[in-house]
Amino acid sequence: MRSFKSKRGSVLLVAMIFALSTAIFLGSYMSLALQSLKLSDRSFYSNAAMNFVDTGVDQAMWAMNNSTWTGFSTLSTNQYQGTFPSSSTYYNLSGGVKGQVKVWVNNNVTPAQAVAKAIITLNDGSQIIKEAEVYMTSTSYFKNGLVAKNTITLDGNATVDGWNSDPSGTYTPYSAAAVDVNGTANGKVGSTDVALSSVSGNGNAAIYGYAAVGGSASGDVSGLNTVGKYGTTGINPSYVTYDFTTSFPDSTTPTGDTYTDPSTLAKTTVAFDNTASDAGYNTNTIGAITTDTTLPVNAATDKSITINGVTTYYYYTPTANLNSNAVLTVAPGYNVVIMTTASSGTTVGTGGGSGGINIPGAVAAVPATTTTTTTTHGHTTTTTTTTTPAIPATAASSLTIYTAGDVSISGQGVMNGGTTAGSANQPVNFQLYGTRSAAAAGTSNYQSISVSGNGIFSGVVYAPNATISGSGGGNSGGIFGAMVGNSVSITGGESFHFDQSLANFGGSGLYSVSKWRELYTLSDRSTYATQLNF
Amino acid sequence: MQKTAYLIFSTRHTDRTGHSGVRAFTLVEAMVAIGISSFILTGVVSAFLMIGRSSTNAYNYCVLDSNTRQGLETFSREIRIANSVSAFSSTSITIGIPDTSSGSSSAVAYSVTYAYDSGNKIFTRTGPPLTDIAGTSATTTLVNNVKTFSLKYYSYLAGDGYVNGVQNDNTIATDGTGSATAIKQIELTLTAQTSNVTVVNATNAVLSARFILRNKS
Repeated sequence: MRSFKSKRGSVLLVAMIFALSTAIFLGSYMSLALQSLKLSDRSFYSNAAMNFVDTGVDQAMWAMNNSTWTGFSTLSTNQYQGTFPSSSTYYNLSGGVKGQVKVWVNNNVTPAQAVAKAIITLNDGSQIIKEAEVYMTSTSYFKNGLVAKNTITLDGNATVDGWNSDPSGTYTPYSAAAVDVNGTANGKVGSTDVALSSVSGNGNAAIYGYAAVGGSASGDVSGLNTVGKYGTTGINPSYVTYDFTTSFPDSTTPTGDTYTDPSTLAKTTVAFDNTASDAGYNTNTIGAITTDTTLPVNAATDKSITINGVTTYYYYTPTANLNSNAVLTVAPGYNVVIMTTASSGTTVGTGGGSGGINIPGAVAAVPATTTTTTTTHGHTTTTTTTTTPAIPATAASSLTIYTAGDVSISGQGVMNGGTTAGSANQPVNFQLYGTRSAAAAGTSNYQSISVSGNGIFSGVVYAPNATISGSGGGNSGGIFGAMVGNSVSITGGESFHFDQSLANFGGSGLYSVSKWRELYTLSDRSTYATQLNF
Repeated sequence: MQKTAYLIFSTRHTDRTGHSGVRAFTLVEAMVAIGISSFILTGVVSAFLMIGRSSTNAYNYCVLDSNTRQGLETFSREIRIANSVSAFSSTSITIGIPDTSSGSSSAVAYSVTYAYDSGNKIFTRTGPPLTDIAGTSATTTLVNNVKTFSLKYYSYLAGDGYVNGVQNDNTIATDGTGSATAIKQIELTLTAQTSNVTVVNATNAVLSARFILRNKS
């Protein structure tokens, strides 16, 4: 009887154990489901955090490109910190989730650097943090070859292709063998215009490479026989993009000489001193250039600036408008910069005929030679030894012109090196900058830049507020380099050959992200912990 | 009759004569007891089976969830930093990854291929180890039991924004035949499924965000 009583409640006990097991199971399952929900939430908002990081990078880019640090405070020289949307407000996401992004920009190094840290706070107070580091490099005015705010016109048999004049640190002249037929960056033409026929042509005009327009209609690129890979015909949509946009900052007359180290990208600048009585006077002021002129006028006495072993002579002149048949020559091996002080009318011109601008090419060294001559007169033999001294190599000359007025180069045109593609200097040896501002140009008062004449034009032109027309003359002519203007037209049997090495030329003052890297590890993040601790 | 037998099969009873004694269950009582016991036991066994199956299913789900999350995280990290696409299709993509160390060098440091092996139903990564990019390239499985898989590519068209597909001659192609230069964003979709005997299949469907190739021009 006692043993029977002792078993009372056993069913209840079993039921309780069973209920407990079930409760544990259900609890675990609920916990698992809740954990899965949290993980899903974190994954979702983790992606949102990456978008916030991009927002921070955008803020840094905008500030860099506009030199306006709204929303930032100065940490130290050229270093800035900012919280967006602000230190007391947040970007609100659904369900009460909110986020901020902290940005640190260091413009005191080259390339400039920025780190963005996105912080998203979830409902339970936990946070998701994402960080990314970006490097920003100054882009080249000439990275897209032939570029215009408005229209680009290729007439007649004009063609566009590309080659790299500096593939390995050694100048490689344009040739059929050097044409980039398979690369992804061969000829490039870009127009930010959104109207139909932004890039147009007729006849056999062809772009062997890419065309980019700001509009979205297929007719924005029209009339061309070819847009596509070298050797093909027809407009290949894969070689046409409709999202092209770029900035055209005004070009200004320099106030100093700047050298950028190609390996470290560190900059060295020597400011101009235009006061003749100063000990540091380093520029030259001369009268209007109208007749045959060689610069430097006197290399020994003219002022110059030397950085990293490169000596450059800077000349202020009202105009460089040559009379007919007059030639402006840069002395062999010298680098010359001309800055016109007049800003209207024709400020740079050649009078036609046999006149033009002559920029000598490189001259190879000539070794010393010894000649022995033996002469016999009767029983007398005379031996004469003649020695010709060695001639050192001379580097190619260079000429850069800054002018706000009209430019008209005709006659022999610009002879940058030789008169053939193989003998021409590298395009960067002749640079022409149109300095008329957008405000001065208004809606119609654009600079006029006309480059024509002798068969070969090797150079770069940056004149965002100019109407540029280029022609080399004859079927053997050609334009080598890059051109940027308000509108550009290439006419005649001309061909345009984009020098791809110009993409690394820099100097535009506009920045683009050259490297983006997410910071995952504690060590990576600790590198910037101090800079982002605000 | 043994006492123990009374305890099990009988109940205490007082007959008409006043003699107390122990009498066996009736057949009906026994059947009812057996029926109720069977019902309870069936419920208990079913409950335990259900718990066991559910636990296995939950385990499978956890493993799937963990694997797909980890695979997606690895994929997204390298896609985001990629600066080139050298080959692509709806089931594989080969990308160039710039130097991942601190510093401004953006040269391609290595290439990596993400691919779906439909025969073995696995999503793989072929490339040097993430923690040692100078190491030997090898194929590692990111997600097992992948039932369906697809990669989508997006390019940009002014006026239309980002559209599925990339430019290919006169059309926007979604079959991976277009120009890799036009690829701006990538989206991954997969369904992973595990199954065990007597256990309902655990299925995990993954639809990634569109990853932007931030270093690709």
